[in-house]
Amino acid sequence: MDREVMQLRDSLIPKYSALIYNGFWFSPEREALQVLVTESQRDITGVVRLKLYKGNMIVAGRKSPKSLYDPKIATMEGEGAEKYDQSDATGFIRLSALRLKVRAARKSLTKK
Amino acid sequence: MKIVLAYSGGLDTSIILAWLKQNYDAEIITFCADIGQEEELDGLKDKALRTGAAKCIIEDLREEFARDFIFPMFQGGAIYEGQYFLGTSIARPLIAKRMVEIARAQSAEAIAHGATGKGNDQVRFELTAAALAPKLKVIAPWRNEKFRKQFPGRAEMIAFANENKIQVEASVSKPYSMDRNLLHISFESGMLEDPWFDASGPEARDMYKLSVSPEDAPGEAEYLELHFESGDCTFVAAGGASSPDPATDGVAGAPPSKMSPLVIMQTLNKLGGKYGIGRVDIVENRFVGMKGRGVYETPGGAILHFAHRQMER
Repeated sequence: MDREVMQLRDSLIPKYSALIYNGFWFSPEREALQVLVTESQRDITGVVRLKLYKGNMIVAGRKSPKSLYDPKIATMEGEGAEKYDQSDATGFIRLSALRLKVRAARKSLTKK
Repeated sequence: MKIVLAYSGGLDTSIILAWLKQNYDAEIITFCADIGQEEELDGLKDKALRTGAAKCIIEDLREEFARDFIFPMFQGGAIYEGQYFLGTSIARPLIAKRMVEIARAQSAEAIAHGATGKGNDQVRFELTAAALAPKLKVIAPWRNEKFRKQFPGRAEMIAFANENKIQVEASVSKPYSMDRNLLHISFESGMLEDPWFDASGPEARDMYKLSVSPEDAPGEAEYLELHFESGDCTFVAAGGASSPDPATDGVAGAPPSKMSPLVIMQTLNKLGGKYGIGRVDIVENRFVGMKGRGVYETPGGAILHFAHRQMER
């Protein structure tokens, strides 16, 4: 599942669950959430392998023809695909850090 | 007046049946949904008629429960306060929906239920009725002061049953209450009201029906495979037999055959129960404001929830 779709859906799980717990299964808000849930599930297809042992569930593999997992991108071996250039990470981190640096600088100014 | 009553044949709903008849001068139609509670439904009709019902309707709603309620909810990854798989919560709207439909078909003016005035179930039941049949009247005897005064305890209920020749099983009252369906069993009240009471210990050992405790589970692990299609589990293979690879065996990754949602729940309940999966013990926030302690067995649901999350990765 796409990262942003998953995080959005995950943020709604407490709300969705509370609606069901509180008896609002047949309500406009639960029906609206269900549309989002159904849409998010379109590509959730494949097989999960589990191991059951004394009250525990252990994942023992997963495979899906619709998976977004790309071992060519994810691998730590060699440079990998042209889709990911390690030098891009420098700028990515620099921009992500900008506001943290501003905040730290402001803090040390006010301390003086 | 005609009233459709949610009826189980137990002490409470038997008393309510007779009480409604006396106090509302009404014709009572009892309704019992089979949602996987595995109780004896043979003889229930006779019992209802002998207790005074004009009609008794019993329906097997297990497939609808699994397909239209449990499965969509599990697609959404629902879990209340991080622990509870909503086994009772998801069953109430289905029962209430069917009651509303029956009330319509039988031209009844009201529906009635035996849920207490302190719990969540009355709310779930009545919100469903409001959403689907806003004009239908709902009667909740436990919220009626006259009813509560007449029946302050079990003894008065049994006395009333004897006076009115209502057959009630002379069962020993358990020190807790139970609600069972295809998704779970919930246990609450009685000894469980003490949050320090260890529900995983020897004193509660005989309470559980769906699962063994992890200590008593087999010493060897069991492998199983769950097939999913668009967020729904469609097949379960146990015993380590490897299934075809969806990446190589056709684009849709179609499993060799399909199981219905009902069969999937039954299969997972059996497997999970054998390995001590899905026991939950929680102090939860009830909708009506108080906290309540609940213990649950959800063997199949716990597996489905976990496997579905792995499939979403």
